[in-house]
Amino acid sequence: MPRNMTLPDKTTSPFSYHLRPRGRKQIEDLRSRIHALERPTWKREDNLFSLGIPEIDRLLPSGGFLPASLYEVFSDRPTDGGATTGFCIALMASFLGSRRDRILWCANDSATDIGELYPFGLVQQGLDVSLLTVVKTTRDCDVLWAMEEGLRSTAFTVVLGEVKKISMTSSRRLQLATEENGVLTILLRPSTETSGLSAAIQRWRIKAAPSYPKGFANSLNEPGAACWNTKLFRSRGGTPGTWLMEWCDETSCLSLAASVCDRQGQPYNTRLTR
Amino acid sequence: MALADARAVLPSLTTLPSNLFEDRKMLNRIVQWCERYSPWIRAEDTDNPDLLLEEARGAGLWLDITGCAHLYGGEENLLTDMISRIEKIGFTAHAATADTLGCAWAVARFAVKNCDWKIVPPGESRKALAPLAIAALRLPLTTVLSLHEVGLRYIKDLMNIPRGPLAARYEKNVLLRLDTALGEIAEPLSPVLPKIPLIARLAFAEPIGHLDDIARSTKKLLEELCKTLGKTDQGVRQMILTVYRPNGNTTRITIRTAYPNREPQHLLKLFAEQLHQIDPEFGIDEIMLFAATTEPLQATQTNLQQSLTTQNMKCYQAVIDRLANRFGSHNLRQVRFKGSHIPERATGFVPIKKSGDIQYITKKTLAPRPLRLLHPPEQIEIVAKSTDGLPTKFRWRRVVYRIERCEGPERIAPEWWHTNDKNTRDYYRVENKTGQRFWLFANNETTWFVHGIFG
Repeated sequence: MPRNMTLPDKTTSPFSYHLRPRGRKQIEDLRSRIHALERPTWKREDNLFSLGIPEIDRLLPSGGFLPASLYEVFSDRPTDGGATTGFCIALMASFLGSRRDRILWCANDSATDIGELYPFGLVQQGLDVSLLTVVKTTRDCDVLWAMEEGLRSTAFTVVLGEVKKISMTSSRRLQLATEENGVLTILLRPSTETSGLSAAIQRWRIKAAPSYPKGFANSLNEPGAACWNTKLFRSRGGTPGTWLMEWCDETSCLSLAASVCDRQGQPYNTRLTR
Repeated sequence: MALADARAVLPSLTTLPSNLFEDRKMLNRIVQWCERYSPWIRAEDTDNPDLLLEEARGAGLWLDITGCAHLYGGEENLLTDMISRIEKIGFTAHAATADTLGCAWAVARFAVKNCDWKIVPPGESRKALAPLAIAALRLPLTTVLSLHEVGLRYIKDLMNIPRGPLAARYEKNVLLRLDTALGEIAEPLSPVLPKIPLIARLAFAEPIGHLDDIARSTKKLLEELCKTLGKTDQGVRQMILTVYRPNGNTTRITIRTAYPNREPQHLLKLFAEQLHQIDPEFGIDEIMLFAATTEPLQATQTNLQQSLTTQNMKCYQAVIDRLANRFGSHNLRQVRFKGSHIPERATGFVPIKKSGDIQYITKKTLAPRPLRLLHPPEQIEIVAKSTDGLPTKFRWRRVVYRIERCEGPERIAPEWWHTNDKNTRDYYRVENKTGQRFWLFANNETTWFVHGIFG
């Protein structure tokens, strides 16, 4: 190994691993100074939350998901609306944890054409529906207005809106309002929209993936837990990536589905050794 | 006559349970309407309706028309006017005028009814009361029956016998009622105080037209009205702003709040949206603000550090008001779980209720349920079936899906108390090759529908 090369450290970004220790420190200083200029109201490591998947957290600039930001979630195909909703709920549930905070959901039937939310399903996905408030609207401008009202009042901790089209200025406005008030904002977009410019700090594209049922369910050929192919295609200050996520109902957590081993046709008790 | 007897006479008799509370409310409204005859009015209190004779049970009003009769051209005209108007509303009424409350009550209810109203000339109450039954003295049923037992049936009997034994043997109410009916003891009528309408008005010397001026005057009116509300510990639920123009056109704006409120800033924000849409035309002469519906609102002590929960609650109420005024309160929903096993009825979103109670729900251990439910379920066409009779390919919204995995059936039978509903559903949770998961059901094992989408 060459003299200058140092092994990667888990706490720093993957870009800086090839620099000398002094260079690395300079980069970190610069980074924190720029960050202080960018986000004056929220400290960098304040209130970070995680989806429970360390592989994703490693690639994010602050080591976790920032709560006071705008996230944008797209569906890949028109029929992936359910997967997108599931991912948004997992994001919200990871942020809230066991806290009881109000959630505002601005529903727009013209954006997502697959029906109304079903509370039993939401509860099974890990969301506490007792503090959920739903606003039914039909136009994008109404959804954005309702989201901004919800953001500026300090009543809600999470605000979600289903929008078809949003311009750069509107998303920038939402991002500024979010940072001021410390609310997690999620934009649910349909698959028909091409991703233009946006001020969101993370942009995801969700696709449904075949599930991996375990044990008995596999032998009976039943569908398993929800499984999604998630692609973070733009992350501000971080690295994009694609992951196959699985939602486990019993433990109420997201995890990476191990797609390396081929589970087709395996009897229940064997383990694959690599 | 008992209900069973009445039904025996007329089998098709319509019966409804009595609602004393609503009757009382209606009576109070009639009392307010009767202000046109006299300012001194009161609705009759019936302490316990079951203890009174039948004639005594109906709702009644007392009006003191001393000095008011000439406005209608005499007592006769006043009475006929009142009775005809009440009959137009839909009630039957009997009225009587006399020197004293007791005499008027007795004559109205117990006198021989050959016309709807009677006037007892001044000084003749003794003569009018004599032939009436003892129950006309507003005595309870038990006292009346015990007086009947000793042979006292009419008021003239009471008037003739010595008072000492009466006072000794019966409760003092008997003699008291007799004396007040005859006018020997005064019985004052304490009236219902009129409700002060909550109106604030602002008239302009010159008609105004600018939006800023309208907004500023609305703010001034709001501050005035909120101060009045604060004095009586009330908050407004519905407020109407009326704008008058010199040519007679008026425009009305209504705002509603989910919780009683008397903060001028918050109410002004609710008006702000619709104020922009007022067309001044040639100018605005007068603005009137009327608090249509109010509810009690306790004054809250403003601490320097208000507790977080009350602050959050206030913010929540404020944002709910703003969202409801823009989208309509029926579009603002929260989750409610209802007692039903039919999926679309077991839970749903209902408009947010004012009471604000939160129904905390623990995770229900059920068979897996979809994240989204289609209202109504959409019919699908089965393109191919397996040997078990389960579908392997179906067409939904013009796309063909091939089923790889399937879990089911989960049978949901209809609710037996709805006799019209005979659709038994068998639910299946199916998965596509590409991972899309649907909730299908077979209605009576014949037609197939897709009801929901899983995550």
